[in-house]
Amino acid sequence: MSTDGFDQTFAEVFEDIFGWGVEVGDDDGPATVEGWDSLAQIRLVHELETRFAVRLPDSALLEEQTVGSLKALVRAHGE
Amino acid sequence: MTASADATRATLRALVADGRFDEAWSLLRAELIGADGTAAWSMARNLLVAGARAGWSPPAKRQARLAVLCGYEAAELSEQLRVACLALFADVTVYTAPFGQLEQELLSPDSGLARFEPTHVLLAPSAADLGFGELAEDPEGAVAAELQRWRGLWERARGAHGARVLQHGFVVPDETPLGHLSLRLAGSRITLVRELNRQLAQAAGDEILLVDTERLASRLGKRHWLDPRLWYRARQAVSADGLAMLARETAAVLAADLGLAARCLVTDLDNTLWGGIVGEDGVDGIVVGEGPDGEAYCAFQDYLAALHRRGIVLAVASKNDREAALAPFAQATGMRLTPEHFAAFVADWRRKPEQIREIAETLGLGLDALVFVDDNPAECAEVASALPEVTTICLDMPVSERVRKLASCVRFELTALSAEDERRQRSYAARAQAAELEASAGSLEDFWRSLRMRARVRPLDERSLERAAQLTQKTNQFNLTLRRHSREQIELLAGGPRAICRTLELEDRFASHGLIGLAIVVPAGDDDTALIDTLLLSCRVIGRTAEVHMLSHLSRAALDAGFSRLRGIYVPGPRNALVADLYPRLGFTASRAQEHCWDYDLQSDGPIVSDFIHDEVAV
Repeated sequence: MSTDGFDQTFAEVFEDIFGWGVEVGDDDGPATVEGWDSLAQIRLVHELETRFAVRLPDSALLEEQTVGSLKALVRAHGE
Repeated sequence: MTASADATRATLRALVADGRFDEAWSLLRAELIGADGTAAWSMARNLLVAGARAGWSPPAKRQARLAVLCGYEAAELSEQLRVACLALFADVTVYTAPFGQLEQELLSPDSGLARFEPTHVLLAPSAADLGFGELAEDPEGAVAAELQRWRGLWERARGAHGARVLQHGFVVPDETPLGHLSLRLAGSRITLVRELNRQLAQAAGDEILLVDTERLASRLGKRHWLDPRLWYRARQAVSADGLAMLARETAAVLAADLGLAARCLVTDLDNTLWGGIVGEDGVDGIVVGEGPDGEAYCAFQDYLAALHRRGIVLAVASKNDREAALAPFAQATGMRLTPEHFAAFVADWRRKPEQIREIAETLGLGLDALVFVDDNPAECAEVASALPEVTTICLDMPVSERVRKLASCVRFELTALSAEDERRQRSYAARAQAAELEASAGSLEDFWRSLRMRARVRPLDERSLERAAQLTQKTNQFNLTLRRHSREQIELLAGGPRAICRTLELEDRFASHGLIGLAIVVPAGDDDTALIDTLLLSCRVIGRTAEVHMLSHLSRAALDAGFSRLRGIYVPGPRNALVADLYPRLGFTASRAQEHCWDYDLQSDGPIVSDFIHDEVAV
């Protein structure tokens, strides 16, 4: 997947989970994104796994994740 | 993520940008009601938020207050239930109790549930809530204790809170240290859970609305139903995909209880009930009945017929000349539906939304009570756009996959066979009897013709041997010789030189009767005579001329085998008097050679003719 495609899909997943129009940067996480609670975290991991057809490690479900660290996990487990 | 979800996302946002919320919702409803996966749920949440900002809310016909009592973390289930109910026209306010607090919530007079005053209570446990070990010493006691717990909760919810109760069944665990032995052990966890499900269903009667969670988990696959990560980390006993399915199906049961299930299925004809376009290809050119696609179209028609039997009204909306549209029902072989199945039959050249609107008016139904199926995505899109309240199912997949697609639509739930359904079933039976009476008032011949009987007469084979032996053992009435043969004896007889052995399957316009006839013919001793050793029919089909049909086949086969005479024997028994005159009736004459024997001269009289039964396939 191209970087553009990757980032676009990532952005779509975030919009699906956190609302249309939401924009996030790599440093954003539960503390800075409204609605990023444990329920949203589960949805997020499930949606990323489905869209990118990957299986993320259990640590993806931990709440200290950020957008950037999730991207790294998807990349690391997707290839 | 499915391709359809991707397409939906783009279309959806374009519609929302235009403020066309109803159309956007209609598009999503189709996904929420009929497709697996979770993408549509996320989109639905966003659409509802965007709609609320713009002062729009989805159309709802009923309201309810649902208390969710879950054995596991219930936030996601509750959220999805609310969305799924909206997709089914129910505006449901949801109260989610802290998980695991089932007794506390129902028993305490000032619990959150009591203050909420629910109209419905959902009991949503998982197998982890059951006190079953891997191997119980007292299986009956273990099941009885669980049954008592759940029945007690039902009584409390109904009695103290006046609520209707929905109950999730239990998923039979997949992992077991006892392996396949589990099945044979009364005390194994697997047996206990199965037994509890059975007893819960029995105890539920008409009052408790059970959701068959075990069936859903099997559909999704048990390895996908439970995501152990989510269980250990978040106490969520069902995976994300599983919860979406569970929410949809639970909402469907709730909606049906609120009277919101669909009442009518409107179907297209060309490339939906049969393959091809009857107006262009002609009745002979359409595909139904035979071949892989033909059989699949039959199966689809059978499914519609089954929906009809349990009370769903069927209607046709087709762009066709009426005459052409009706032709296959009268002329094509292999059709399962008849014009009488349809309460409304609209075939003209108007747009489908107009046709469907007319159907709703004719039947006196709201548009939300209608489900529309069509193979053509353009027609579906037009209906979805013009009539967003109609549930549109686009059958744009191979015909072999369509029953599954239709079956996954949850709009046809029913909470009990209603008095109306039962009346309908009775009227079905009555109609069959009426047809009989009507025909017999005319003539027996007319009756036989009206049955439109089709037969399949085949040489005996491996597949039919067991059933043939069973017939010789069990048939007492229509049995000419009363000879009882074992499987091995039949094999021996049928394998002999010049032996003719045939089985008969019969089908009429009401039912398929299966393999109901057997004949074994062997050389009588001289070169010219074929002796009917066995001729019998199951009592289900007595009086249908099936015996004539069988003898017609036997006489032709005997001629082909070089016999010039067919000899039948009637051996009187306690219950077979009704066939005493069978052979003379069919033109056999008393044999000079032997007592109780009847001869038919194949040379001078020609093969016996069967007038009222047609062969489905040439043998």
